Amino acid sequence: MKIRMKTVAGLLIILAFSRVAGQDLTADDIIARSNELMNQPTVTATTKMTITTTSGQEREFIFESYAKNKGEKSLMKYIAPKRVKGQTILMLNNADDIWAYFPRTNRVRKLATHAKKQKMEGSDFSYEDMGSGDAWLNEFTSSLLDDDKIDGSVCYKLELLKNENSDSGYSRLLMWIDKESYMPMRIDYFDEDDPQLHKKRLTISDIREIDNILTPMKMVMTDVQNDTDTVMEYEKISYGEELDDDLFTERGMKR
Amino acid sequence: MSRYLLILLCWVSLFSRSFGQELEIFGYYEPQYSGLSLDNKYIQLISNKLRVDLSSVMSNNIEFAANVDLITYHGNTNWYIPDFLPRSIADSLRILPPGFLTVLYKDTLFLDNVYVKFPIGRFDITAGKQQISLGTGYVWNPTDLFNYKSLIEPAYEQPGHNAFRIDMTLISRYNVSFIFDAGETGERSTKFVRLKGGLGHFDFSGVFIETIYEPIDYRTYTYKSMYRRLYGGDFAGELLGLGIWGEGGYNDFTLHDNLWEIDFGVDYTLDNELYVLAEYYYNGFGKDNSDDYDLNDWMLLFTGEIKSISRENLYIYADYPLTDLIHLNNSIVFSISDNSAAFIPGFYYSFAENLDINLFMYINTGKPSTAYSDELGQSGLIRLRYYF
Repeated sequence: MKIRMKTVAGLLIILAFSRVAGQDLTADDIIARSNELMNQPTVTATTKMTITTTSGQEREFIFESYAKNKGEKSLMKYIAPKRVKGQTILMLNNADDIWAYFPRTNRVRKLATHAKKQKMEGSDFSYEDMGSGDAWLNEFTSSLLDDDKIDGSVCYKLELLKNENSDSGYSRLLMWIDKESYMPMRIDYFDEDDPQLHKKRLTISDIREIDNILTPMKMVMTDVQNDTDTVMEYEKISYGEELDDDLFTERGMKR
Repeated sequence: MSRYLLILLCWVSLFSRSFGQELEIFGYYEPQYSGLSLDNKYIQLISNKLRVDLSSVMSNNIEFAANVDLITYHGNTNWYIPDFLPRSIADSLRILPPGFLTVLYKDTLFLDNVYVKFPIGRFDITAGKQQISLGTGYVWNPTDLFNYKSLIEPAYEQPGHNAFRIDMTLISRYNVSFIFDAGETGERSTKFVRLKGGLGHFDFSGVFIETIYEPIDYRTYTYKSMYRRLYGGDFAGELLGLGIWGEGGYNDFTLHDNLWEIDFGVDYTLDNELYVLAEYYYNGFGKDNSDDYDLNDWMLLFTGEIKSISRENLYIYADYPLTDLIHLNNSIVFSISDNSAAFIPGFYYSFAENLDINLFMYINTGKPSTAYSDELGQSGLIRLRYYF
């Protein structure tokens, strides 16, 4: 009986502490935990990107991607369709520096930050959307709103406002992060100049455990203004592979 | 032609068997219609280009790549050069036999690129016929003595060069490249060295090139042979949110006045996704006044020996994605030296997954004898490209 009492008391104490800990989490803490989950030390993936255009046509792209140092370095190489096969995008310093390689002309071009606003192969994802999530911490000021539910999951709802010195293409983000897993379930993106103009919505689904890491296998970006969407689905993904620094260079792009 | 096709098929078959599943075969088919309106004449040229690429990556990252181009021409395949020159220049040429001044578009099949690339430690070695693209300029590249870009489509692929290339990685973002472009003798070969580095948001490089320069004097049909040594460099980066780049070179000739070529560019993407680009080019080979343009200048321009006939040039480009699949664009190329301009509106439509349609117009608006004189005619081009 004594043991039981002790156990119950212990559980109550743990519960009380965990509630306090939960209440103490700031918006930045939540984003940091979400970043931790979304930006693993190394990631290797093959992704299928399906674009549904305004005219209802579907276009399919497949690319390989490699990320290192929690997304600080990343490289994407298109493998299909034939039209863009071999084109490679290298992003360093959390996508502050971007290079594009075009195999048809054997030319590497350094892209300026403004290129981050450009659509990736006409999709609803911009290069900025593909960059590292640490921009949420460094380029935005976040605040916690009331909890909300997405598909039955209780989520932290956060508002992120662009910092003055940021070159992000969005003035404001609304983010729903699952309270249990810290997985961002939905992100709303607002116009660069008009924080009330809703431009895009990212919805995450089909969350699976891969190599003991929760992984969103499907991401849908919807352009709410133009009524188009782009679906990204991992065909293959693995974590923890050794990736040589040489891969994230001009030499690596051409390989 | 059929003999060449047979060789091509044997060649593809041979390599397919040698490399088995590892050999990738891809490429594109590109039919093109171009029309040119000159005074009261209309000239049309139709071409069909089939490019077949072979690529294989073997063990140890050894890469083999090659492509064969088959091009057939139809329509007006004999182009009389004086038709494309300002009248003041053309009239002096008409006394020569027409055959002497005619460009023939003949059906052709050739091996454009064929090379093997392999790494040895920090070195990447590429041997064979290969594309060499140099410099940061979009339209003009003062440090690229290997290629000539079209104003209509500066990003179109360039032909291969017989070369031996070594790229050596020094440290992160720093590398050095050596290129030896084989001529008839070692002396007549082009030697190229580039040291490339990166600092902050900038990439930069220093370049040295030594080559043989043999400009033809079209008035006497003689040429001089001399050394050309180019000391130059380039950079690309970002300033105040704008993409900026620059490229320049000092050309040191043994039998010609030394001269500079300098290029600066800037680009930006607006919030509405309109992409704008501007590039300025100072060409020491060019002339300040249209009255000074002579036959040699025009012929050197047509043969790609010089990149512009005017000394100071400006290129402005804008591209707007009308939909996910349709882009509208327009270029203006302006000669600051003689105040003439050409407009190059374009249309791009991604018709299907691997089928693109491009449409361009080339509208000269300048006064007679200027770089973009309307007497040079107005032209248009429509091109389909199917990738396989």
